[in-house]
Amino acid sequence: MKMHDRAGIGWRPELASGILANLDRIDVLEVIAEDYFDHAARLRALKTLARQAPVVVHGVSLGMASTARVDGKRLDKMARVVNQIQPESWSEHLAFVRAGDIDIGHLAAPPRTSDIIEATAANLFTAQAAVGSMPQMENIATLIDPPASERDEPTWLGDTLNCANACLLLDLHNLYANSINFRLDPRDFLARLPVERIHAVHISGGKWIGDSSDRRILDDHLHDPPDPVYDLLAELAANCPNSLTVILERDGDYPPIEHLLAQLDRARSAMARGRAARAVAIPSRPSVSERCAVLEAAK
Amino acid sequence: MSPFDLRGPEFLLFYLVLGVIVLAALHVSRRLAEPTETIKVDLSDPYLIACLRGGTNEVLRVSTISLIHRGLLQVSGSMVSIASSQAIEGIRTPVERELLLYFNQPREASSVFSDPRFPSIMERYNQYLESYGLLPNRWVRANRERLLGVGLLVLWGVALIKMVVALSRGHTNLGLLLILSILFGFFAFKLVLPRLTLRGKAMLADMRVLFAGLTLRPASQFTSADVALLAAVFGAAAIPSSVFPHALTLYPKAMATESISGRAGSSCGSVSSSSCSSGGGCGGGGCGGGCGGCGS
Repeated sequence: MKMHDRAGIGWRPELASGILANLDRIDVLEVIAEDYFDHAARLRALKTLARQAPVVVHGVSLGMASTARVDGKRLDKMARVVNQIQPESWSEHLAFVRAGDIDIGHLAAPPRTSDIIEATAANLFTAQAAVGSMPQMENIATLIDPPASERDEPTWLGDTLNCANACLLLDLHNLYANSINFRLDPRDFLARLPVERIHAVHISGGKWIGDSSDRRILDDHLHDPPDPVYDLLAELAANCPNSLTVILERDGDYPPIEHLLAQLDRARSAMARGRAARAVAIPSRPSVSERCAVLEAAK
Repeated sequence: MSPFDLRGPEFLLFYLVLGVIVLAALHVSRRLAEPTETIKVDLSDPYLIACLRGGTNEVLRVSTISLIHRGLLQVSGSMVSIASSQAIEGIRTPVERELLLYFNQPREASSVFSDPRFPSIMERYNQYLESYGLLPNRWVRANRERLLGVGLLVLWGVALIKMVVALSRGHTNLGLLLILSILFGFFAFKLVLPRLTLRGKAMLADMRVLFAGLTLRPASQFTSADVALLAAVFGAAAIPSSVFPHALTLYPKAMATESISGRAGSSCGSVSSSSCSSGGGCGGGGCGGGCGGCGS
Protein backbone atom coordinates (compact mmCIF):
# COMPACT_ATOMS: atom_id res chain seq x y z
CA MET A 1 0.00 0.00 0.00
CA LYS A 2 1.29 3.46 -0.90
CA MET A 3 2.06 5.51 2.21
CA HIS A 4 1.35 9.22 2.34
CA ASP A 5 3.63 10.32 5.13
CA ARG A 6 3.54 14.01 5.91
CA ALA A 7 5.53 16.47 7.94
CA GLY A 8 4.11 19.61 9.49
CA ILE A 9 4.67 22.05 12.28
CA GLY A 10 2.88 23.36 15.32
CA TRP A 11 1.28 26.72 14.56
CA ARG A 12 2.81 29.38 16.76
CA PRO A 13 1.96 33.05 16.13
CA GLU A 14 5.64 33.94 16.40
CA LEU A 15 6.30 31.70 13.41
CA ALA A 16 3.28 32.87 11.42
CA SER A 17 5.08 34.76 8.68
CA GLY A 18 7.57 31.99 8.07
CA ILE A 19 4.92 29.30 8.07
CA LEU A 20 2.57 31.08 5.69
CA ALA A 21 5.39 31.98 3.33
CA ASN A 22 6.39 28.31 3.13
CA LEU A 23 3.14 26.41 3.01
CA ASP A 24 4.42 24.56 -0.04
CA ARG A 25 6.98 22.91 2.25
CA ILE A 26 4.65 22.29 5.19
CA ASP A 27 2.11 19.53 4.77
CA VAL A 28 -0.02 20.12 7.83
CA LEU A 29 -0.40 22.55 10.74
CA GLU A 30 -1.24 21.66 14.31
CA VAL A 31 -3.05 24.24 16.40
CA ILE A 32 -3.49 24.31 20.17
CA ALA A 33 -7.24 24.13 20.77
CA GLU A 34 -7.20 26.09 24.03
CA ASP A 35 -5.92 29.19 22.22
CA TYR A 36 -9.33 29.38 20.53
CA PHE A 37 -11.67 28.36 23.33
CA ASP A 38 -12.95 31.77 24.40
CA HIS A 39 -12.15 33.96 21.43
CA ALA A 40 -14.67 34.17 18.61
CA ALA A 41 -12.32 36.32 16.52
CA ARG A 42 -9.48 33.85 16.93
CA LEU A 43 -11.73 30.96 16.04
CA ARG A 44 -12.79 32.70 12.87
CA ALA A 45 -9.16 33.42 12.07
CA LEU A 46 -8.41 29.76 12.64
CA LYS A 47 -11.07 28.88 10.09
CA THR A 48 -9.29 31.09 7.62
CA LEU A 49 -6.00 29.39 8.47
CA ALA A 50 -7.61 25.99 8.02
CA ARG A 51 -8.57 27.01 4.48
CA GLN A 52 -4.93 27.62 3.66
CA ALA A 53 -3.52 24.30 4.88
CA PRO A 54 -4.63 21.00 6.44
CA VAL A 55 -5.06 21.49 10.17
CA VAL A 56 -5.11 19.13 13.13
CA VAL A 57 -6.26 20.23 16.57
CA HIS A 58 -4.32 19.46 19.73
CA GLY A 59 -5.67 19.87 23.25
CA VAL A 60 -3.66 20.35 26.40
CA SER A 61 -6.18 20.92 29.17
CA LEU A 62 -8.73 18.13 29.26
CA GLY A 63 -6.76 15.85 31.55
CA MET A 64 -8.21 12.60 30.29
CA ALA A 65 -5.97 10.20 32.20
CA SER A 66 -7.61 10.66 35.55
CA THR A 67 -10.26 9.14 37.76
CA ALA A 68 -11.83 12.61 37.75
CA ARG A 69 -14.41 13.01 35.03
CA VAL A 70 -13.37 15.15 32.12
CA ASP A 71 -14.51 18.77 32.48
CA GLY A 72 -17.75 19.11 30.51
CA LYS A 73 -17.33 22.83 29.83
CA ARG A 74 -13.88 22.36 28.39
CA LEU A 75 -15.15 19.46 26.36
CA ASP A 76 -17.93 21.63 24.94
CA LYS A 77 -15.37 24.23 23.98
CA MET A 78 -13.25 21.58 22.32
CA ALA A 79 -16.32 20.34 20.45
CA ARG A 80 -17.01 23.88 19.26
CA VAL A 81 -13.48 24.27 17.93
CA VAL A 82 -13.51 20.88 16.22
CA ASN A 83 -16.94 21.41 14.72
CA GLN A 84 -16.06 24.86 13.44
CA ILE A 85 -12.69 23.95 12.01
CA GLN A 86 -13.40 20.40 10.86
CA PRO A 87 -9.79 19.33 11.34
CA GLU A 88 -8.43 16.06 10.03
CA SER A 89 -8.16 14.83 13.62
CA TRP A 90 -7.91 16.02 17.17
CA SER A 91 -5.74 14.86 20.02
CA GLU A 92 -5.12 15.12 23.73
CA HIS A 93 -2.66 13.81 26.28
CA LEU A 94 -2.63 10.72 28.45
CA ALA A 95 -2.12 12.91 31.47
CA PHE A 96 -3.98 14.56 34.30
CA VAL A 97 -3.90 18.32 34.66
CA ARG A 98 -5.94 19.03 37.76
CA ALA A 99 -6.54 17.64 41.18
CA GLY A 100 -9.90 18.42 42.67
CA ASP A 101 -10.63 21.91 41.38
CA ILE A 102 -7.02 22.95 41.22
CA ASP A 103 -5.28 23.20 37.87
CA ILE A 104 -1.73 22.03 38.39
CA GLY A 105 -0.46 23.75 35.26
CA HIS A 106 1.32 20.70 33.95
CA LEU A 107 0.65 17.52 32.10
CA ALA A 108 1.21 15.04 34.90
CA ALA A 109 1.66 11.30 34.58
CA PRO A 110 -1.01 9.36 36.47
CA PRO A 111 -0.39 6.12 38.37
CA ARG A 112 -0.38 3.36 35.78
CA THR A 113 -3.14 1.29 37.34
CA SER A 114 -6.20 -0.56 36.10
CA ASP A 115 -8.46 2.02 37.75
CA ILE A 116 -6.85 4.81 35.77
CA ILE A 117 -7.10 2.81 32.56
CA GLU A 118 -10.83 2.31 33.04
CA ALA A 119 -11.39 5.92 34.05
CA THR A 120 -9.36 7.15 31.10
CA ALA A 121 -11.38 5.00 28.74
CA ALA A 122 -14.60 6.37 30.23
CA ASN A 123 -13.33 9.92 29.73
CA LEU A 124 -12.38 9.15 26.16
CA PHE A 125 -15.82 7.74 25.39
CA THR A 126 -17.35 10.89 26.91
CA ALA A 127 -15.10 13.01 24.73
CA GLN A 128 -15.96 10.98 21.68
CA ALA A 129 -19.66 11.48 22.31
CA ALA A 130 -19.26 15.23 22.88
CA VAL A 131 -16.90 16.03 20.04
CA GLY A 132 -18.02 13.46 17.53
CA SER A 133 -14.76 11.59 17.15
CA MET A 134 -12.26 9.82 19.37
CA PRO A 135 -9.14 11.86 20.10
CA GLN A 136 -5.72 10.50 19.35
CA MET A 137 -3.94 10.22 22.68
CA GLU A 138 -0.39 11.38 23.22
CA ASN A 139 2.16 9.83 25.54
CA ILE A 140 3.72 12.44 27.81
CA ALA A 141 7.19 13.03 29.15
CA THR A 142 7.70 12.80 32.86
CA LEU A 143 10.57 13.28 35.25
CA ILE A 144 8.82 11.33 37.98
CA ASP A 145 7.92 7.67 37.77
CA PRO A 146 4.29 7.76 38.89
CA PRO A 147 4.02 6.19 42.34
CA ALA A 148 1.70 3.22 42.91
CA SER A 149 2.01 2.16 39.28
CA GLU A 150 1.26 -1.46 38.43
CA ARG A 151 2.63 -1.37 34.90
CA ASP A 152 5.54 0.09 33.04
CA GLU A 153 4.78 2.82 30.51
CA PRO A 154 4.68 0.76 27.28
CA THR A 155 2.29 -1.74 28.85
CA TRP A 156 0.14 1.00 30.30
CA LEU A 157 -0.07 2.83 26.97
CA GLY A 158 -1.04 -0.35 25.13
CA ASP A 159 -3.63 -1.35 27.70
CA THR A 160 -5.19 2.11 27.82
CA LEU A 161 -5.43 2.43 24.05
CA ASN A 162 -6.89 -1.06 23.72
CA CYS A 163 -9.44 -0.40 26.46
CA ALA A 164 -10.67 2.79 24.76
CA ASN A 165 -10.01 1.59 21.20
CA ALA A 166 -8.12 4.84 20.67
CA CYS A 167 -5.15 5.76 18.49
CA LEU A 168 -1.76 6.82 19.82
CA LEU A 169 -0.26 10.18 18.95
CA LEU A 170 3.28 9.05 19.54
CA ASP A 171 5.58 11.74 20.87
CA LEU A 172 8.96 10.30 20.02
CA HIS A 173 10.90 12.77 22.12
CA ASN A 174 8.74 11.96 25.12
CA LEU A 175 9.38 8.29 24.48
CA TYR A 176 13.10 8.95 24.15
CA ALA A 177 13.26 11.20 27.23
CA ASN A 178 11.33 8.73 29.40
CA SER A 179 13.50 5.89 28.14
CA ILE A 180 16.68 7.75 29.10
CA ASN A 181 15.28 9.02 32.39
CA PHE A 182 14.04 5.61 33.52
CA ARG A 183 16.74 3.43 32.00
CA LEU A 184 14.64 1.83 29.30
CA ASP A 185 15.76 0.93 25.81
CA PRO A 186 13.92 3.36 23.49
CA ARG A 187 13.86 0.85 20.63
CA ASP A 188 12.39 -1.78 22.90
CA PHE A 189 9.88 0.81 24.19
CA LEU A 190 8.86 1.55 20.61
CA ALA A 191 8.65 -2.11 19.70
CA ARG A 192 6.22 -2.75 22.52
CA LEU A 193 3.75 -0.10 21.38
CA PRO A 194 0.74 -0.99 19.22
CA VAL A 195 2.05 0.41 15.93
CA GLU A 196 -1.23 -0.31 14.16
CA ARG A 197 -2.76 2.39 16.38
CA ILE A 198 -0.22 5.04 15.37
CA HIS A 199 -1.11 7.57 12.68
CA ALA A 200 0.44 10.73 14.13
CA VAL A 201 3.80 11.57 15.62
CA HIS A 202 5.28 14.49 17.51
CA ILE A 203 8.96 15.30 17.41
CA SER A 204 10.66 17.96 19.48
CA GLY A 205 13.77 18.56 21.53
CA GLY A 206 14.82 19.07 25.08
CA LYS A 207 17.88 19.56 27.20
CA TRP A 208 19.98 17.59 29.63
CA ILE A 209 19.53 18.43 33.29
CA GLY A 210 21.00 17.14 36.55
CA ASP A 211 24.53 16.33 37.52
CA SER A 212 26.76 13.69 35.98
CA SER A 213 25.49 10.98 38.32
CA ASP A 214 21.86 11.63 37.51
CA ARG A 215 21.55 13.12 34.05
CA ARG A 216 18.06 13.33 32.67
CA ILE A 217 16.32 14.87 29.68
CA LEU A 218 13.81 17.65 30.08
CA ASP A 219 11.33 17.86 27.20
CA ASP A 220 11.17 21.64 26.85
CA HIS A 221 10.35 22.08 23.15
CA LEU A 222 13.04 24.74 22.94
CA HIS A 223 15.63 22.68 21.10
CA ASP A 224 15.96 20.68 17.91
CA PRO A 225 14.97 17.02 17.98
CA PRO A 226 18.10 15.00 18.76
CA ASP A 227 19.44 12.39 16.35
CA PRO A 228 17.95 9.41 18.23
CA VAL A 229 14.46 10.84 17.68
CA TYR A 230 14.96 10.71 13.92
CA ASP A 231 16.32 7.18 14.23
CA LEU A 232 13.21 6.21 16.18
CA LEU A 233 11.07 7.84 13.50
CA ALA A 234 12.76 5.75 10.83
CA GLU A 235 12.24 2.66 12.96
CA LEU A 236 8.59 3.53 13.42
CA ALA A 237 8.11 4.06 9.68
CA ALA A 238 9.72 0.69 9.07
CA ASN A 239 7.17 -1.05 11.26
CA CYS A 240 4.01 1.04 11.10
CA PRO A 241 1.35 -0.04 8.59
CA ASN A 242 -0.28 3.42 8.54
CA SER A 243 0.60 6.65 6.80
CA LEU A 244 2.21 8.96 9.35
CA THR A 245 1.72 12.64 10.04
CA VAL A 246 4.71 14.07 11.87
CA ILE A 247 4.41 17.39 13.68
CA LEU A 248 7.49 19.31 14.75
CA GLU A 249 6.82 21.05 18.06
CA ARG A 250 8.66 24.20 18.99
CA ASP A 251 7.46 26.43 21.81
CA GLY A 252 10.14 29.10 22.06
CA ASP A 253 13.69 30.17 21.31
CA TYR A 254 12.56 30.14 17.70
CA PRO A 255 15.22 29.69 15.05
CA PRO A 256 14.81 31.00 11.49
CA ILE A 257 12.04 29.22 9.61
CA GLU A 258 14.57 27.69 7.22
CA HIS A 259 16.06 25.84 10.15
CA LEU A 260 12.68 24.39 11.10
CA LEU A 261 11.92 23.50 7.49
CA ALA A 262 15.21 21.61 7.36
CA GLN A 263 14.02 19.59 10.35
CA LEU A 264 10.82 18.75 8.51
CA ASP A 265 12.90 17.59 5.56
CA ARG A 266 14.96 15.48 7.92
CA ALA A 267 11.80 13.92 9.31
CA ARG A 268 10.63 13.12 5.78
CA SER A 269 14.00 11.54 5.02
CA ALA A 270 13.82 9.44 8.17
CA MET A 271 10.36 8.21 7.25
CA ALA A 272 11.45 7.47 3.70
CA ARG A 273 14.39 5.51 5.08
CA GLY A 274 12.06 3.51 7.29
CA ARG A 275 9.58 2.90 4.49
CA ALA A 276 12.36 1.67 2.24
CA ALA A 277 13.38 -0.80 4.92
CA ARG A 278 9.75 -1.86 5.29
CA ALA A 279 9.42 -2.38 1.55
CA VAL A 280 12.39 -4.73 1.63
CA ALA A 281 11.02 -6.59 4.63
CA ILE A 282 7.44 -6.78 3.32
CA PRO A 283 7.34 -6.92 -0.49
CA SER A 284 4.40 -4.90 -1.68
CA ARG A 285 1.40 -6.58 -3.23
CA PRO A 286 1.61 -6.42 -7.02
CA SER A 287 -0.50 -3.70 -8.58
CA VAL A 288 -3.53 -4.52 -10.74
CA SER A 289 -1.61 -3.86 -13.94
CA GLU A 290 1.23 -6.07 -12.75
CA ARG A 291 -1.21 -8.88 -11.96
CA CYS A 292 -2.88 -8.46 -15.36
CA ALA A 293 0.51 -8.69 -17.01
CA VAL A 294 1.21 -11.92 -15.14
CA LEU A 295 -2.16 -13.35 -16.21
CA GLU A 296 -1.51 -12.35 -19.82
CA ALA A 297 1.83 -14.06 -19.68
CA ALA A 298 0.24 -17.18 -18.20
CA LYS A 299 -2.23 -17.35 -21.10
CA MET B 1 -53.60 60.87 5.22
CA SER B 2 -50.60 61.44 2.97
CA PRO B 3 -47.32 61.93 4.86
CA PHE B 4 -46.69 64.95 2.68
CA ASP B 5 -49.61 66.66 4.40
CA LEU B 6 -47.92 66.27 7.80
CA ARG B 7 -46.86 69.46 9.54
CA GLY B 8 -43.13 70.30 9.66
CA PRO B 9 -42.08 68.64 12.97
CA GLU B 10 -44.29 65.60 12.38
CA PHE B 11 -42.89 65.16 8.87
CA LEU B 12 -39.33 65.48 10.17
CA LEU B 13 -40.04 62.71 12.67
CA PHE B 14 -41.58 60.61 9.90
CA TYR B 15 -38.56 61.27 7.67
CA LEU B 16 -36.16 60.38 10.48
CA VAL B 17 -37.86 57.01 10.98
CA LEU B 18 -38.01 56.42 7.23
CA GLY B 19 -34.32 57.26 6.90
CA VAL B 20 -33.29 54.84 9.63
CA ILE B 21 -35.40 52.09 8.07
CA VAL B 22 -33.94 52.68 4.62
CA LEU B 23 -30.37 52.70 5.97
CA ALA B 24 -31.01 49.49 7.88
CA ALA B 25 -32.51 47.89 4.78
CA LEU B 26 -29.49 48.94 2.71
CA HIS B 27 -27.14 47.52 5.32
CA VAL B 28 -28.94 44.18 5.51
CA SER B 29 -29.39 43.93 1.72
CA ARG B 30 -25.68 44.46 1.14
CA ARG B 31 -24.73 41.90 3.77
CA LEU B 32 -27.05 39.34 2.24
CA ALA B 33 -25.77 39.98 -1.26
CA GLU B 34 -22.06 39.62 -0.52
CA PRO B 35 -20.41 36.27 0.27
CA THR B 36 -18.72 35.97 3.65
CA GLU B 37 -17.39 32.43 3.81
CA THR B 38 -13.64 32.03 4.22
CA ILE B 39 -11.61 31.04 1.18
CA LYS B 40 -8.10 29.95 0.33
CA VAL B 41 -6.02 32.91 -0.74
CA ASP B 42 -2.32 33.59 -1.01
CA LEU B 43 -1.44 34.88 2.45
CA SER B 44 2.27 34.64 1.78
CA ASP B 45 2.47 37.85 -0.26
CA PRO B 46 2.61 40.85 2.08
CA TYR B 47 1.95 43.25 -0.77
CA LEU B 48 -1.36 41.59 -1.44
CA ILE B 49 -2.31 42.05 2.20
CA ALA B 50 -1.11 45.65 2.12
CA CYS B 51 -3.27 46.28 -0.93
CA LEU B 52 -6.26 44.77 0.84
CA ARG B 53 -5.69 46.89 3.93
CA GLY B 54 -4.90 50.23 2.41
CA GLY B 55 -4.83 50.12 -1.37
CA THR B 56 -1.99 50.80 -3.72
CA ASN B 57 -0.28 53.46 -1.60
CA GLU B 58 0.13 50.90 1.16
CA VAL B 59 1.75 48.47 -1.28
CA LEU B 60 4.28 51.15 -2.18
CA ARG B 61 4.89 52.02 1.47
CA VAL B 62 5.33 48.41 2.59
CA SER B 63 7.50 47.59 -0.40
CA THR B 64 9.74 50.60 0.26
CA ILE B 65 10.07 49.65 3.93
CA SER B 66 10.91 46.08 2.99
CA LEU B 67 13.57 47.19 0.51
CA ILE B 68 15.11 49.51 3.11
CA HIS B 69 15.10 46.78 5.74
CA ARG B 70 16.79 44.42 3.30
CA GLY B 71 19.46 47.03 2.60
CA LEU B 72 18.54 47.51 -1.05
CA LEU B 73 17.41 51.08 -0.43
CA GLN B 74 19.06 53.50 1.97
CA VAL B 75 17.70 56.41 3.96
CA SER B 76 19.16 59.83 4.46
CA GLY B 77 16.83 62.08 6.43
CA SER B 78 13.50 61.91 4.61
CA MET B 79 15.19 60.98 1.35
CA VAL B 80 15.47 57.48 -0.03
CA SER B 81 17.93 56.24 -2.62
CA ILE B 82 19.17 52.96 -4.04
CA ALA B 83 21.93 51.39 -1.97
CA SER B 84 23.96 50.20 -4.92
CA SER B 85 23.52 49.84 -8.64
CA GLN B 86 23.58 46.07 -8.23
CA ALA B 87 20.58 46.15 -5.88
CA ILE B 88 18.13 45.50 -8.68
CA GLU B 89 19.78 42.24 -9.70
CA GLY B 90 17.79 39.25 -8.59
CA ILE B 91 14.67 41.28 -7.72
CA ARG B 92 11.72 39.72 -9.50
CA THR B 93 8.73 41.42 -7.89
CA PRO B 94 7.62 44.11 -10.38
CA VAL B 95 6.75 46.70 -7.76
CA GLU B 96 10.12 46.25 -6.03
CA ARG B 97 12.01 46.53 -9.33
CA GLU B 98 10.12 49.69 -10.24
CA LEU B 99 10.75 51.19 -6.81
CA LEU B 100 14.47 50.53 -7.08
CA LEU B 101 14.49 52.25 -10.47
CA TYR B 102 12.44 55.14 -9.06
CA PHE B 103 14.84 55.68 -6.18
CA ASN B 104 17.85 55.55 -8.46
CA GLN B 105 17.91 59.28 -7.72
CA PRO B 106 17.44 60.34 -4.07
CA ARG B 107 13.78 61.29 -3.57
CA GLU B 108 11.26 61.86 -0.82
CA ALA B 109 9.78 58.52 0.22
CA SER B 110 6.21 59.75 -0.09
CA SER B 111 6.77 61.22 -3.57
CA VAL B 112 6.26 57.73 -4.96
CA PHE B 113 2.52 57.95 -4.23
CA SER B 114 1.97 60.51 -6.96
CA ASP B 115 4.17 58.93 -9.61
CA PRO B 116 2.11 57.80 -12.62
CA ARG B 117 4.11 54.64 -13.35
CA PHE B 118 2.88 52.67 -10.33
CA PRO B 119 -0.91 52.37 -10.67
CA SER B 120 -0.63 50.06 -13.66
CA ILE B 121 1.82 47.81 -11.76
CA MET B 122 -0.61 47.64 -8.86
CA GLU B 123 -3.47 46.56 -11.06
CA ARG B 124 -2.64 42.87 -10.68
CA TYR B 125 -3.07 43.11 -6.90
CA ASN B 126 -6.46 44.74 -7.29
CA GLN B 127 -7.49 42.17 -9.88
CA TYR B 128 -6.44 39.28 -7.64
CA LEU B 129 -8.32 40.69 -4.67
CA GLU B 130 -11.40 41.32 -6.80
CA SER B 131 -11.29 37.83 -8.26
CA TYR B 132 -11.43 36.35 -4.75
CA GLY B 133 -14.21 38.65 -3.65
CA LEU B 134 -12.06 40.56 -1.19
CA LEU B 135 -12.49 43.84 -3.07
CA PRO B 136 -15.73 44.58 -4.91
CA ASN B 137 -15.66 43.25 -8.46
CA ARG B 138 -17.86 44.75 -11.14
CA TRP B 139 -20.86 42.59 -10.23
CA VAL B 140 -20.61 43.54 -6.59
CA ARG B 141 -20.12 47.17 -7.53
CA ALA B 142 -23.13 47.06 -9.85
CA ASN B 143 -25.26 45.50 -7.12
CA ARG B 144 -24.11 48.09 -4.62
CA GLU B 145 -24.83 50.92 -7.03
CA ARG B 146 -28.30 49.51 -7.65
CA LEU B 147 -28.93 49.33 -3.93
CA LEU B 148 -27.64 52.83 -3.40
CA GLY B 149 -29.77 54.12 -6.25
CA VAL B 150 -32.92 52.66 -4.75
CA GLY B 151 -32.04 53.97 -1.30
CA LEU B 152 -31.28 57.46 -2.53
CA LEU B 153 -34.39 57.46 -4.68
CA VAL B 154 -36.52 56.82 -1.60
CA LEU B 155 -34.60 59.15 0.74
CA TRP B 156 -34.13 62.05 -1.63
CA GLY B 157 -37.36 61.48 -3.55
CA VAL B 158 -39.51 61.77 -0.42
CA ALA B 159 -37.55 64.84 0.70
CA LEU B 160 -37.88 66.44 -2.71
CA ILE B 161 -41.61 65.84 -2.95
CA LYS B 162 -42.12 67.30 0.52
CA MET B 163 -40.05 70.34 -0.41
CA VAL B 164 -42.14 70.89 -3.54
CA VAL B 165 -45.36 70.46 -1.57
CA ALA B 166 -44.12 72.80 1.18
CA LEU B 167 -42.96 75.45 -1.28
CA SER B 168 -46.27 75.26 -3.17
CA ARG B 169 -47.97 75.99 0.16
CA GLY B 170 -45.72 78.90 0.86
CA HIS B 171 -43.46 77.28 3.45
CA THR B 172 -39.75 77.96 3.07
CA ASN B 173 -38.35 76.62 6.35
CA LEU B 174 -36.82 73.54 4.74
CA GLY B 175 -33.31 73.74 6.17
CA LEU B 176 -33.62 70.83 8.62
CA LEU B 177 -35.13 68.55 6.01
CA LEU B 178 -32.34 69.46 3.58
CA ILE B 179 -29.68 68.74 6.19
CA LEU B 180 -31.34 65.47 7.16
CA SER B 181 -31.59 64.28 3.56
CA ILE B 182 -27.91 65.13 2.94
CA LEU B 183 -26.91 63.30 6.12
CA PHE B 184 -28.92 60.22 5.16
CA GLY B 185 -27.37 60.30 1.69
CA PHE B 186 -23.89 60.46 3.22
CA PHE B 187 -24.58 57.49 5.49
CA ALA B 188 -26.12 55.57 2.60
CA PHE B 189 -22.89 56.02 0.61
CA LYS B 190 -20.81 54.92 3.60
CA LEU B 191 -22.96 51.87 4.25
CA VAL B 192 -23.31 50.65 0.70
CA LEU B 193 -19.97 51.55 -0.83
CA PRO B 194 -17.21 50.55 1.61
CA ARG B 195 -13.83 49.88 0.02
CA LEU B 196 -13.75 46.23 1.09
CA THR B 197 -16.32 43.50 0.70
CA LEU B 198 -17.56 41.72 3.80
CA ARG B 199 -15.25 38.85 2.97
CA GLY B 200 -12.31 41.23 2.54
CA LYS B 201 -13.05 42.92 5.84
CA ALA B 202 -13.29 39.57 7.62
CA MET B 203 -10.10 38.33 5.98
CA LEU B 204 -8.22 41.41 7.12
CA ALA B 205 -9.54 40.98 10.66
CA ASP B 206 -8.51 37.32 10.58
CA MET B 207 -5.03 38.22 9.45
CA ARG B 208 -4.71 40.73 12.28
CA VAL B 209 -5.50 37.92 14.68
CA LEU B 210 -3.28 35.36 12.97
CA PHE B 211 -0.31 37.67 12.82
CA ALA B 212 -0.77 39.33 16.20
CA GLY B 213 1.95 37.08 17.58
CA LEU B 214 4.52 38.70 15.30
CA THR B 215 4.69 41.51 17.80
CA LEU B 216 5.83 38.97 20.39
CA ARG B 217 9.05 38.26 18.53
CA PRO B 218 12.16 39.79 20.06
CA ALA B 219 13.44 42.62 17.86
CA SER B 220 16.66 40.72 17.26
CA GLN B 221 14.73 37.89 15.64
CA PHE B 222 12.76 40.00 13.17
CA THR B 223 13.34 38.78 9.65
CA SER B 224 12.65 40.82 6.53
CA ALA B 225 9.56 38.70 5.96
CA ASP B 226 8.34 39.59 9.47
CA VAL B 227 8.86 43.31 8.85
CA ALA B 228 7.02 43.26 5.53
CA LEU B 229 4.15 41.24 6.94
CA LEU B 230 3.83 43.36 10.05
CA ALA B 231 3.72 46.54 7.98
CA ALA B 232 1.28 44.96 5.55
CA VAL B 233 -1.18 43.74 8.15
CA PHE B 234 -0.95 46.44 10.82
CA GLY B 235 0.71 49.39 9.10
CA ALA B 236 4.20 50.82 9.36
CA ALA B 237 3.47 52.16 12.85
CA ALA B 238 3.36 48.60 14.15
CA ILE B 239 7.01 47.92 13.37
CA PRO B 240 9.12 48.38 16.50
CA SER B 241 11.34 51.42 16.10
CA SER B 242 14.32 49.32 17.10
CA VAL B 243 13.70 47.21 14.01
CA PHE B 244 12.82 50.01 11.57
CA PRO B 245 13.65 53.48 12.94
CA HIS B 246 12.79 55.43 9.76
CA ALA B 247 8.99 55.13 9.70
CA LEU B 248 8.28 58.45 11.37
CA THR B 249 10.81 60.34 9.27
CA LEU B 250 9.69 58.88 5.97
CA TYR B 251 5.94 58.86 6.51
CA PRO B 252 5.03 61.39 9.18
CA LYS B 253 1.43 61.80 7.96
CA ALA B 254 0.69 58.11 7.86
CA MET B 255 2.32 57.53 11.23
CA ALA B 256 0.18 60.26 12.75
CA THR B 257 -3.04 58.83 11.41
CA GLU B 258 -2.38 55.12 11.89
CA SER B 259 -4.20 54.22 15.01
CA ILE B 260 -2.36 52.13 17.52
CA SER B 261 -5.52 50.08 17.79
CA GLY B 262 -4.81 48.74 14.36
CA ARG B 263 -1.83 46.84 15.65
CA ALA B 264 -3.40 43.84 17.22
CA GLY B 265 -6.62 42.84 18.79
CA SER B 266 -4.67 40.74 21.19
CA SER B 267 -0.99 40.39 21.54
CA CYS B 268 -1.27 36.96 22.99
CA GLY B 269 -0.24 34.05 20.92
CA SER B 270 -0.38 30.52 22.13
CA VAL B 271 -1.65 30.34 25.65
CA SER B 272 -0.23 26.95 26.15
CA SER B 273 2.40 24.69 24.88
CA SER B 274 1.55 21.19 24.01
CA SER B 275 3.14 18.28 25.72
CA CYS B 276 5.79 19.37 28.11
CA SER B 277 7.20 17.32 30.91
CA SER B 278 5.46 16.90 34.15
CA GLY B 279 7.43 17.00 37.31
CA GLY B 280 7.94 20.69 37.51
CA GLY B 281 10.76 20.86 35.10
CA CYS B 282 9.43 23.31 32.58
CA GLY B 283 11.48 26.30 33.41
CA GLY B 284 12.68 27.03 29.95
CA GLY B 285 10.05 29.37 28.75
CA GLY B 286 7.84 27.54 26.34
CA CYS B 287 6.15 25.19 28.71
CA GLY B 288 3.66 25.16 31.42
CA GLY B 289 0.84 27.23 30.08
CA GLY B 290 0.26 30.92 30.44
CA CYS B 291 1.58 33.35 27.92
CA GLY B 292 2.95 35.83 30.34
CA GLY B 293 1.06 39.01 30.44
CA CYS B 294 -1.59 38.86 27.81
CA GLY B 295 -4.48 38.65 30.13
CA SER B 296 -6.43 36.26 28.01
